[in-house]
Amino acid sequence: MIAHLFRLAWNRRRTHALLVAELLLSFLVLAPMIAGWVLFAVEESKPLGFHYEDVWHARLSARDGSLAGGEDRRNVELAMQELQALDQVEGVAVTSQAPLRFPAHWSRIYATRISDEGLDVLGLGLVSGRWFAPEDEALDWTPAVIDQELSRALFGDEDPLGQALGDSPMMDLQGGYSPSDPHSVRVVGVVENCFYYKEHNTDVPGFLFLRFSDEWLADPGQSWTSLLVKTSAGSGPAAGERIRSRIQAVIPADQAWSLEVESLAERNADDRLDRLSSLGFLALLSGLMMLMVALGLIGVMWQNVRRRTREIGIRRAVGAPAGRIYGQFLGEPAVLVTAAIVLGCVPLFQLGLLEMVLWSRVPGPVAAAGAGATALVLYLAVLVCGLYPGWLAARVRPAEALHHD
Amino acid sequence: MLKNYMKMALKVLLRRKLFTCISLFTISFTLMVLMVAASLFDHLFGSFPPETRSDRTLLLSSMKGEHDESTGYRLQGPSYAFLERYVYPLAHAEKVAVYSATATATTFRGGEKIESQLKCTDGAFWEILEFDFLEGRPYSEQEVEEGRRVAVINEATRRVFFGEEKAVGRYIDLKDLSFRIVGVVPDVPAFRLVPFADIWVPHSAFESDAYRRYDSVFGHFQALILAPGAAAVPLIQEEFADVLTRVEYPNPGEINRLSGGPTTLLDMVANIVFTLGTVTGRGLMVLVGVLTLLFMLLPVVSLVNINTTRILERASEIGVRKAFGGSSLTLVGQFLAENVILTLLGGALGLALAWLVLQMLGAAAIVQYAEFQLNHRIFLYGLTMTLLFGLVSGVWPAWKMSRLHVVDAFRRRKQQ
Repeated sequence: MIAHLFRLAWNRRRTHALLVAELLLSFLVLAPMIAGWVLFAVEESKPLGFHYEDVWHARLSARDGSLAGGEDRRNVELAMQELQALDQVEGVAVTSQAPLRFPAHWSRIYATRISDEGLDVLGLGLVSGRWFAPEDEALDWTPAVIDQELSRALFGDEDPLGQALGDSPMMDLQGGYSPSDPHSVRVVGVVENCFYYKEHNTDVPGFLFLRFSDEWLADPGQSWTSLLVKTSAGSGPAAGERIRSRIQAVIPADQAWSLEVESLAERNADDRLDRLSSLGFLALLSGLMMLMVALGLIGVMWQNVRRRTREIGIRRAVGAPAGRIYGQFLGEPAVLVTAAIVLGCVPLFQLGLLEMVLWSRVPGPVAAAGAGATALVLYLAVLVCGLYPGWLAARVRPAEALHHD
Repeated sequence: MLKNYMKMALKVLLRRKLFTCISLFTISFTLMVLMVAASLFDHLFGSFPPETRSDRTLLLSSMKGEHDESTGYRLQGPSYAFLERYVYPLAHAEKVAVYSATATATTFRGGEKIESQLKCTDGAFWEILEFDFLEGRPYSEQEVEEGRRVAVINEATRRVFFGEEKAVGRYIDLKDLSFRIVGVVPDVPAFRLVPFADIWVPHSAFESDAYRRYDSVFGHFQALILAPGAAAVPLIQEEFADVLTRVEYPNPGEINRLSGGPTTLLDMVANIVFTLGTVTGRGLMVLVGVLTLLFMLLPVVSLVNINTTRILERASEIGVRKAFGGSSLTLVGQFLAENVILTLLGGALGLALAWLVLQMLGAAAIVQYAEFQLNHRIFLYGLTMTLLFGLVSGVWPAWKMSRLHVVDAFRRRKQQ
């Protein structure tokens, strides 16, 4: 039966070519959207590796674009001391990037500078080695802590502790910018996998922390700095206001800094909503396109049944039951969908269409799951579209059909 | 002739209402999406006040700094001192304005916290950008030189601080300093990156002079360069590239090589979106064009399928016309005309839908102060797209139909 359906479809291949093209395009429109949702679900189910609840992010920037020189550095230190003195504050760390779970796609950051307090403030899980310590200031190299994924990628089964990161590609990027000597970065510790500002667009897996040294803070041209403030659980939104007023009290008015204080939990919730709404927008757009395609398909199938009334009549006359006719008119579009899906997998997997549309790295299983789900949706769609025309076909009376012309 | 086609087209449309509805839905939905997208693009990059001379305005918003002995680099805006030294003196520029990136300024008014976006500018900023002043005037270069505490605010800020009253001559507190308001301008949507702010003040108004010291090439500032004409744009870019070879670096141990230069707004956005400057503004336009065509592909194929099926219904009509000597070409013309008429109907519907969607987007306030309107540019674009759509989706079915043989047409048997 199925082989026969394929032969029927093949016999009319020239007529069907355009229909297959339409289904192929639908597949290519739907697949990235569905894969995007799969990717989102997979990402969200991964353990985060750090905590952001009750962490506040204070971003200080100097109006003239530099926190340079002793004066400003002292201000950052003063602000940290002031904050530590607050009774609800458990720890303060300086970092070059606040941890975000759902970063914008184009932020290419997978390394960050963070100060000695970072381990406790973010609640990172140390697996082996050690975290940064104040004594590191005296070192003539930069200590680095990497996560397990990066350790596996760079060093395999070898012990990463003490290894130099050398001029690995990560040194090229913003977070890893090293003003003195980029070749002197060594691993001192390993933490649990960290989904911290992870960039899927790059080939470097995992995450890298570099020590936020005094030297880095004093770097002229460093235009802003982030303070991460961990408050005790349940301290509420008032804590943010207190943090802001404490910092503002330290900064002299004529320094004209700008200061933004945000709750990381809120920020992450907002980012998540952003991601969801862009996926939702994609879903809406492709959903409407699918509706358009489905309506067109109903029209084409209906016309198809009308045109083939005589054929149906002959089949009925020689004894085919109505159910078989129904099956034929549902099965033929399914054959076309199969062809479209097979053809569609080429651009999807070979030409990297998913990566292009979703603008991020898509792991193989995610792409496969997305393609599978899309195939299912398409089969379902043609089945639904074929219900009415198929029913019309099954109702054809042989006697009338043979008269029909 | 055309009148006949139109009559015929309407008759055909009314004969199969279901098919007509499906076609109209496809056409109007597609054109609606295209027009909304075009309108958003236009509001982002098109010429809107105050950016009325975008064809000859260049923007220097970020530079890439490298060091010969390091693989790292830094991508950031220039510092005021750098711009003062190297961009203000550009010989080919008609005017140069320097302004800071927007920063948030918090004010408290009766215990309520108000966050405004603050931009620090020089006097030329108001000459390059043509704001319509609702009240008062901009501050002058001289006031900036003297470090006067004056401010221009937008309509929304005036409403928040002073209600419906006049604002000029009153004072507003920013960072513990008091600023006299000299002018009020209309709100600028937040996606117009260059002019956008709630409050504009002279960059010299705050007490610290630190930003004038040349201790880094990088900072928070950007420059807007007005060329005397569109032809002078490449001259300015060349001149700046030449200037970069002669830059004196304040800390050559860290950065001793700079790249990048003033670009148009479109080029700049292309740079941001594709991070490393691999795509230019023209490349972005080509990409947008290709995406548009790709987006149209599915609806076009869907319409072609519907049309090819429908034509068989009219086999006897085709047969009659052919039997009485109608050439294939006239038949193709007739069917194309019919299809274009249908598409124009769908286009009109799409335009109405696009207007509705844009109103909703504006009302939803997705971007601060954004209002989206349809203008003649969008209308022309929509019309072009509609005609293109009508022709492309009609050609194939019309050609197929015209090839129908008279005998087959009469017998209505031909399966193809």
